[in-house]
Amino acid sequence: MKGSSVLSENILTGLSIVISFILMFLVVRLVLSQQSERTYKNLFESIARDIVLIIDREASMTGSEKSEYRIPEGIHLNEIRIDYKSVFVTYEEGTIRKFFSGVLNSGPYTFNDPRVLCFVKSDQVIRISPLECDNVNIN
Amino acid sequence: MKGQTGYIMKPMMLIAVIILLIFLLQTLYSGVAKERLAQKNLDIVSTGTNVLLILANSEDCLAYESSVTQKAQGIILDIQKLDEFDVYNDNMEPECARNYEFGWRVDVEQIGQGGAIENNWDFGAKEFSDGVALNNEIRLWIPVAIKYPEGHHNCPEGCTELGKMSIKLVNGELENLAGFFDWGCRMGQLGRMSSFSTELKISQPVKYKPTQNELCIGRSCRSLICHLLYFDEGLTSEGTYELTVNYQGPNKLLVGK
Repeated sequence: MKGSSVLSENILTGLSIVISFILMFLVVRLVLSQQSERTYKNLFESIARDIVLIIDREASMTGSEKSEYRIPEGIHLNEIRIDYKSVFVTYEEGTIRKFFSGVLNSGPYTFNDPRVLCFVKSDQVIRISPLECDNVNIN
Repeated sequence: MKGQTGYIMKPMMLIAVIILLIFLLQTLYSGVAKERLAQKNLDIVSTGTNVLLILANSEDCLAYESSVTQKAQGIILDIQKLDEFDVYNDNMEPECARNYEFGWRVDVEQIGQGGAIENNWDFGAKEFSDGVALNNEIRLWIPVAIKYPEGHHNCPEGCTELGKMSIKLVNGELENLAGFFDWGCRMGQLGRMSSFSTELKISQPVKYKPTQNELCIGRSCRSLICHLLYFDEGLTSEGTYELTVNYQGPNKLLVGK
């Protein structure tokens, strides 16, 4: 028995296949988890971006204006805070902050897990409420 | 021969699998980078367009307000407001259209017969991030009308002239850092919140000039609204910093690193 190898070539081949699969599994899992985290964060960034765009569009309009923004179905937000030139979207894993250029001349506003937001501009003031715009008067 | 083929094939297969994995990862990450670039471009284009439209259409900014209807007239600029912006906002963006993530400077030209520039006004930030501190920049313009009221020395009978409003909009480390300090100052002045934190990446040392109340990165400087306390040495090296500011009225910000 002296000189004979402890591990045969077949066992070595088997082991290398197992290790290769484990390594590939880990790499794929790492990549996919990073991707899903990024997609999740992007979703809330998109919501903040949409709100910023609506506020700036309203601020850049002459006269009165109403716009409705519906939070995408199935998305759970902890809080949306709209303050001086800034929007904060808070979700389970963090907070996204975005700035807008227009002036609200009202607020600040804090909404807990809103489903819909109505933005109304009249007399140079932008008011925001967590209601459908059909239920909000322009003045 | 069989043994020899296996001896060559196995490492070849290993190298092929590693190359395949690297290719897959590179494809995935380049996709993410492209997506980020597209988002940054979308942000800067939409902000530039919105700032121009807010300046031209908002009564808080430059929009001409008709004395008859008491309403703003879209894209018609009030000459008196233009003159005020030109004088009082020579080194900082007017608050009515400021975005704390971007710096901008606007140039308004009055175009006469034959396309000659008859008059011009400019306002907003004078200097911007450059070199490695610059993230993104854009230039846009829109056509406008400039309203002279009756009795104005340039047009005594009152008139509306053709104009062009151009913007240079920049996002970079100087704009992000100065924007964070100025926004924190405004929030404190409004009594909304007194303490804020942010994480900022800096690729060049940041200097603060207390006498001029200016923040400088490289050769570019920006004036600040509030004076900074405990920030005289600035940020001496590149890196990612967690900054906290506390508003100490009437116009002071306490900076913690």
